[in-house]
Amino acid sequence: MQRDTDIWNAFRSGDKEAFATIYALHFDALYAYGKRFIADETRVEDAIQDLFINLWRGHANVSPVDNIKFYLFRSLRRDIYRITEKEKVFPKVELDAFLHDYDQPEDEPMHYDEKELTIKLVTVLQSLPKRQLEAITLRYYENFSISEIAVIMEVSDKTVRNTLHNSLTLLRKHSRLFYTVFKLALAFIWH
Amino acid sequence: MEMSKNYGDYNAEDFLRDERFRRWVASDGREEAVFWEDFKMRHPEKSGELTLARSLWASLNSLQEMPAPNVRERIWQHVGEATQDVTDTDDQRPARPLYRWWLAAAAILIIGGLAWTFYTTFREEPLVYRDQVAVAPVSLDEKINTTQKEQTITLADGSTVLLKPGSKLSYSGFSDSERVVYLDGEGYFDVAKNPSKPFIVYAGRIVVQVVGTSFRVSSNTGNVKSRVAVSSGKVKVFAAGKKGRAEEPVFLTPNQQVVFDAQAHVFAKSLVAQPVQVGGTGEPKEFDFTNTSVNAVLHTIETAYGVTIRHDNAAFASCNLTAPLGDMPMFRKLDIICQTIGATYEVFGTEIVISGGSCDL
Repeated sequence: MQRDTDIWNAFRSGDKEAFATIYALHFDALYAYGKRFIADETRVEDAIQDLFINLWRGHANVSPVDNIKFYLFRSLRRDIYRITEKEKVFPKVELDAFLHDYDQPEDEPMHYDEKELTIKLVTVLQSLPKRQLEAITLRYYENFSISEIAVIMEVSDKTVRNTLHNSLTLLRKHSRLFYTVFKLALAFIWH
Repeated sequence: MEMSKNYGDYNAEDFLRDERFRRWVASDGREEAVFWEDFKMRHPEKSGELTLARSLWASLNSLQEMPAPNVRERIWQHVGEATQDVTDTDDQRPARPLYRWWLAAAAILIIGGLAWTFYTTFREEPLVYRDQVAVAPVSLDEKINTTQKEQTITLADGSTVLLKPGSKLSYSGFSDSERVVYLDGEGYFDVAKNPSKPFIVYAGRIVVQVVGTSFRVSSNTGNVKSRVAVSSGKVKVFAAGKKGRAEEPVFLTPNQQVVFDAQAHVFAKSLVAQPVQVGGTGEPKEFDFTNTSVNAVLHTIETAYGVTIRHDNAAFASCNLTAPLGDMPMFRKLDIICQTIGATYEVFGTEIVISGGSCDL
């Protein structure tokens, strides 16, 4: 696998294959990310199309980048913000609004069914404020660092850290509840 | 992350950030399976955290909205077209043909193993010569004209192709049901008549289908516009790919041409710049008019060149003209006729419209 810096430098020097590589590697993730803010797929497609057209047109002037996906996510979010400024697609709810006082999980093993837990977590995630879900996705699905997420979402590192902590605690609580119910159900069946 | 990982201390968040774990879940357990099976054996106390990590990844994954199968290809095409001009003027290096980009994109997809559906869709309906040739069901011969002059290629059915320098043609010995060739560049086709075996030219973004006729196709990989001009017979042209097949084809008769703009996805039909004689006697003296009515003169031209001429001047029936128009090109003939009768003509698509004309000779 080529390193991001090499691909990016080739692209900056005008290598269209490097540009194609960047496109092919990141299109799906950018699409999924853009869809969080705009429901209309053609507008998401247009935003990504313009992002790449502008990227190529400015290839000789862009600065070095060591994480291409980070650069693209940040650019797309800014572009979408600009396009949709008047439509309030970016929820105003503060990241910290969702505060919980749950304890850290005990070291008790949880042997429950992974598929059912996944279904449960999907409903919990969907009930989260949009920005919390965005932060969790950027962290645990897209694997960005705390400070990268802070730059992308234009908030402080501390805010990102708190948000992730709170969300994870909530998810753990639900996993544990799920586990308890599952155990009870098992006990019921066994007796 | 450091080399010496203490997986035994990992919680769900750590697993989710770990490259090895991410490869495992992203590949649906196909990669890194041995490592993680071993890990589960050695760390049964971690099964809860591991399950939570796997479930969280799977739930986030299910909330990702993926693009429809052909979207990536379509947007890439738009990006390629919009940035094409920049390469020619701006780039220090020689411009690479556009198909190389496509190959690069496809190669990445195979290596990455992601979005398999995109690749298969892409393979079924390629829109550039190189990919069309690559997925052809039969093995093909390729002729590239590396000379400075046009080259004649004679195909298995006796049809000939006059290939322009730098152009490429791929062809086989033909199947029982159809005759398929692939073109990148420009070629003049003289197709042997065989109604039971249609002759099909795949030329990048457009497809040309005929029975027996002669026509010129110009379609270069990387160019937005492709052109088909017909000398004789009837030709059907449609846009390549699934989208094109769903649309109405364009029918061309002699001296008509169509330009397909791949960016706007539109066909523009018009007359060729230099119409050739397709009807009448084919003799230049046919155009030596002596005291002939303008109507009859125009009718002779219509028949000879297979064009439509419209006017609403009733005087043309009784107004006579003497002019030796012999073997000059069609549009030159019209220039002289119109000058003589004080009229003007314009070409709208495939029709010639004459306006004015006092017939005050």
